[in-house]
Amino acid sequence: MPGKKQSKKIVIADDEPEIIDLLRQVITARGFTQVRDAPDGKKALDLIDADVPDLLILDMNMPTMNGYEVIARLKGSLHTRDIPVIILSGHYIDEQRISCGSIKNIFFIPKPFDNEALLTMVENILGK
Amino acid sequence: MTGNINDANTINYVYRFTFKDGVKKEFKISLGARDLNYINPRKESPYPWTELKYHKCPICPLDDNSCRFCPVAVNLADVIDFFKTSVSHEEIEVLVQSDERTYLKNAPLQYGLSSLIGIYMVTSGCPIMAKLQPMVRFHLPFASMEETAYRMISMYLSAQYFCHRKGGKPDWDLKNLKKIYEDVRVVDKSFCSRLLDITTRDAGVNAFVILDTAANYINMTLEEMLDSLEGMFGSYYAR
Repeated sequence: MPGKKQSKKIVIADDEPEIIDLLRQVITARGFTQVRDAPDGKKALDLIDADVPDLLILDMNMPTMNGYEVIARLKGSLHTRDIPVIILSGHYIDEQRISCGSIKNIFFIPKPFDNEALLTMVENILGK
Repeated sequence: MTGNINDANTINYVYRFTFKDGVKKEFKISLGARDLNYINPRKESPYPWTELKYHKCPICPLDDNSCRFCPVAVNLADVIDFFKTSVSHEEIEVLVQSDERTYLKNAPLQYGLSSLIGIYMVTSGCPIMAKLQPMVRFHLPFASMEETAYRMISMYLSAQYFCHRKGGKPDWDLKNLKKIYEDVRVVDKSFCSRLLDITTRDAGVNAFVILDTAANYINMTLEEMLDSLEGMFGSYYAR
């Protein structure tokens, strides 16, 4: 029987391969093993459509489709509107573009991120 | 033209950024060949964000009274100013010319920018970043994480050998290496705070995020990386 953490599915969307590698390292070291990743918003949505995750960790400024568009897409579907999203961004985010109230559980962590702060947030969302 | 490119007293790097619309921007850096210090560093700047007290790194040992400007910020000012409205993931061509060879890569702007910023960070006189200064002699643009880790470990162990040779106490177990990178991360984060106030787009901040990511990754995986390197050195300890 997989543990609680092992059963939780996480999708990471970031155009930086190094950041994806780091996030994978940080998250899997804490026991979350079901991690998939995408280099842009469009591919992230493909992953989400294929298998709805328990958490999305989302960069905002990506090529092809940015984080705002991803959130708008998630918000528009009953199947995905409640997926918790941790926004990871190095620059200011436009809160008005994402605070429409239709998506619950949107959180923010600035880049460069603190590993423990991120893990605490992930565990608070998904359970320890 | 690349200036002093064959002058043995200096080490030279030229970074040339070519944007999709044909706009080019070039930065030339000359370092002293022996001390690896930035030649003719700026001492002052018109930009308030370059002052030492502006989002000063909490571990900075410099005194605001005797050192008005952050040595890194004041030398990075032109770079940051040029890219302050640039988007991090914009695909560009980056040409890097060193005294020995030329590197060319089509990549998101933030990669080339972080590589360039990394040189200024360690050569401008910041006492925290100076611990990484020897690496700039063999600067490797667009390095992978594995390449960076190998250069970093090699540099640190060389430093311990020289420390030992001078009668000091070497850190053969690399215990203090993590502390160095923890401090580097503090500097990276403080610079992000500086840049958030003065940049309208994310290229500059994300360049620092990339530098921080490398430091974070190396700290997290140092033991694993050492294990993976160990197998390469079998001929040295084979019985």
